[in-house]
Amino acid sequence: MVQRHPFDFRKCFESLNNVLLELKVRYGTPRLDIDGFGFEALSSSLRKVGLFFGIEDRAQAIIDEETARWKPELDWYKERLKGKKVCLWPGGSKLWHWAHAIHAEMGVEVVSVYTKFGHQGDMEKGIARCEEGALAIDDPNELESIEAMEMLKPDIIFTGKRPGEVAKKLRVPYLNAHAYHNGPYKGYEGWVRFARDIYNGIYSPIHQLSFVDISKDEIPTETQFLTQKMISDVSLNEEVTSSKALREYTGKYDSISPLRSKTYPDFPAQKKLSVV
Amino acid sequence: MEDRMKDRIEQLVDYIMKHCLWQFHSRTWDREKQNEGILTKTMQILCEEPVEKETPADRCYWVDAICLADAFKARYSWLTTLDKAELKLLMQGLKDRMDYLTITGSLNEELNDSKY
Repeated sequence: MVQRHPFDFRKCFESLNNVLLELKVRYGTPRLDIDGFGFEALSSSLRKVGLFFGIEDRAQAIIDEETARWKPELDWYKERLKGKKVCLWPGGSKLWHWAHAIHAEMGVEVVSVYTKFGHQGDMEKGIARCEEGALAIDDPNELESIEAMEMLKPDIIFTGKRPGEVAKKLRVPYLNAHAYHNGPYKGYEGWVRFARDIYNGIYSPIHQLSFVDISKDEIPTETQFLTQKMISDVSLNEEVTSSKALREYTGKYDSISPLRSKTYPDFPAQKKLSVV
Repeated sequence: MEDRMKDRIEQLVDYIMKHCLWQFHSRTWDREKQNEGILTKTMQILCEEPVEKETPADRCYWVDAICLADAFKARYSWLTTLDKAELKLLMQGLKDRMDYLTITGSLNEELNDSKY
């Protein structure tokens, strides 16, 4: 059946990479790389699919609508995440999916990338997408990652649950880069949800309390409870904090279920594809 | 002159590395085809020459080339100052550099895996 498909989407990367090679060698099926993480990557991917099928105008309409809907919310978080140091320590593919996109679109600095089970190609691509000076570690152990955290002093880490719990012991918050905290992170809305999770992780008032050692530190009793915004906005200028153009995430807790009842326009085929 | 050309090629390389995925297919033979197919078509688009896009494979290269040419034109205003001969020289230099970075100079040993 596969040789009958004129165009085939593959979501996962490394496990299906070999399938794509097989398709190309055995059936001559070409491959078009697309990427759903980040506004620019997603817009470019939609445009590419539109161009391939000769329906670029439809793709552009979606890009314009979604960007207008979600970009002001992404930029609200970008203003508050600028310059924050991130260790990007996921599995394999998110190394390169995210390294440049979070820097360019959320303003964070990726100070380190690592992967425990990524392929050589994942390291190659991840390093290519970092800025100069980022520390790349291949298959690190816990002592190496602890040393890296002590040296780099990241504001947050994107990693798995197990190394994430190690990070928390060093008072470094983490986001689950495998299952995601409040995903999905793909898509325009998803990318804003990712930015919101980073913001909530870095500026969590509860996390601030972890810096106080109740066994020896004096606990201030006159300090009032701070909200995330009170912590994040203290160093921002008024132009940003009072901006009417920017806003926090306005999506719902569940962004998936409404998609199941969404109705889509019907576009009858213009012509029968010759290979089907 | 040569330094300026090198600097311009590095700007284009930096864009491709950070924004594109097509240059990182997983085997040497695949990367050779990708670099050749997409960068040749990008050069043709920038030089306003006709581009083959009839077969699905050519259409895939063309799609990536359109996006790349548009991004180059939007980001690097100095491109408009180049004539056709200079553009072809620039794009050949870019192809040579990409071939080195992603194929001949790559440390990725999986590129030559015998299973494709």
